[in-house]
Amino acid sequence: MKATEYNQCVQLYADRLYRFAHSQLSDGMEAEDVVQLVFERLWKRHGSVDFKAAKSYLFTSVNRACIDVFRKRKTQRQAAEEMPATESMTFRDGLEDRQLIEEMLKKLNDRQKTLILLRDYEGYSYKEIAKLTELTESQVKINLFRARKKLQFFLTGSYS
Amino acid sequence: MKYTRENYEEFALDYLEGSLTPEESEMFETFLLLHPDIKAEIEEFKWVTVKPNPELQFPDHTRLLKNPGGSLVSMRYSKWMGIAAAIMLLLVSGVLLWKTALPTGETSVVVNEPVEQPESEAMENPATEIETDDLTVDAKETIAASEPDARVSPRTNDLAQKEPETPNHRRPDVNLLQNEMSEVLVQNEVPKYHDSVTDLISTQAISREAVSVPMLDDQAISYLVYERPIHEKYLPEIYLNDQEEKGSVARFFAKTNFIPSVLADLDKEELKEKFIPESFQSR
Repeated sequence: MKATEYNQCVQLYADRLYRFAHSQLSDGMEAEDVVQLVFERLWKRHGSVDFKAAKSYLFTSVNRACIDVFRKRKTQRQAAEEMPATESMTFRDGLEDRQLIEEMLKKLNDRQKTLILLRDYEGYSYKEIAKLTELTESQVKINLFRARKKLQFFLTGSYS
Repeated sequence: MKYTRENYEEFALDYLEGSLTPEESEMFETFLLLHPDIKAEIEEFKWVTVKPNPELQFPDHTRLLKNPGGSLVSMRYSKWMGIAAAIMLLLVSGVLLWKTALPTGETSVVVNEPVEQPESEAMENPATEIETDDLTVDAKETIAASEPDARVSPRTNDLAQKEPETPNHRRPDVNLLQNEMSEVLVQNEVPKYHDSVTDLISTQAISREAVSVPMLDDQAISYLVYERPIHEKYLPEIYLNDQEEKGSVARFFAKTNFIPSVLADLDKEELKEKFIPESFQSR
């Protein structure tokens, strides 16, 4: 990939990767770091990464970087002997949609969240998601089905 | 494939999206008949999709951009441009100051000490005065010439903002839809993901520089949109549905400055063949 193509990748994907990371991590600073790190890696390797493959390279890398952040958080939490916070969630009338989404995404486990974001934000096919996340296609489908049911439950208060 | 309580989840989305073959679908329905609880689960399933927040943007793209070899040149260039601009500014303002001082004649010489020097020079030498008049004209021209430039960007901005509103075929309720649009969508309908188009768009679509609403005609757009090939990720504020497809897409094109050159090159039949599912083509 040429430098110009690399820059094109920045223009095309930086915001989308940032949204993806932000929604996964619920933290702007960390999302920023992740995106920057991933682009730095891409720049180092830009000679060997094809422009056409860059998008999936970037999403795969961001996904991995997010997993690293989760792991780090987990060890930090364990070190601090903190229990994961279990907040009771009540939806008030007129709750901001954004908050609602954030609350909803929090209720999904990390894997489900990743899959939902890849599918809904990025419109990836099950096959592509499987490739990006290194899961099998059936794992992807099962997790997405469960995730959607969870979302439905949070939103409508009823499991089907 | 034998569907069981253990494995049905793997196929549930496929079934709901209609991706199973007719035989598989039939078998899945038979399985559902035998398991009323799962049948209810599937029947009451609602598609909840999550939309990205368009306001969330990576804070500073320039931090990520690379400009190998080019940076020094452009820095120099901008440095000299800065100096040139400063000189020009000084020159213009100096001349203007001088000019404003001139009509007041000799009295101003007393009142306004800083302009005394050039004015006395001008009075000593009429030729200089003519020259300065010329300069002033030049300066005026420079300003006049720079004004349209200054107007260009707001005007193009206006254009860019207006364009989403211009398509004649847009429904009046689209704005309403946009404003009322919840970010979380619950639908009974299956959202369609059309990978070929989304991929096409994601790889080469969005050019921020150019403003061009596509060269596709309405028919082609509605073909494109009917099955929601363009996922809502590209339409941060608009979710396409069957009621507002044309308006949304036109606005989408205008909004993202997306030039579907690839699509424009295809003729309608080819387009249809490539991107429109058979189920729709038969309608």
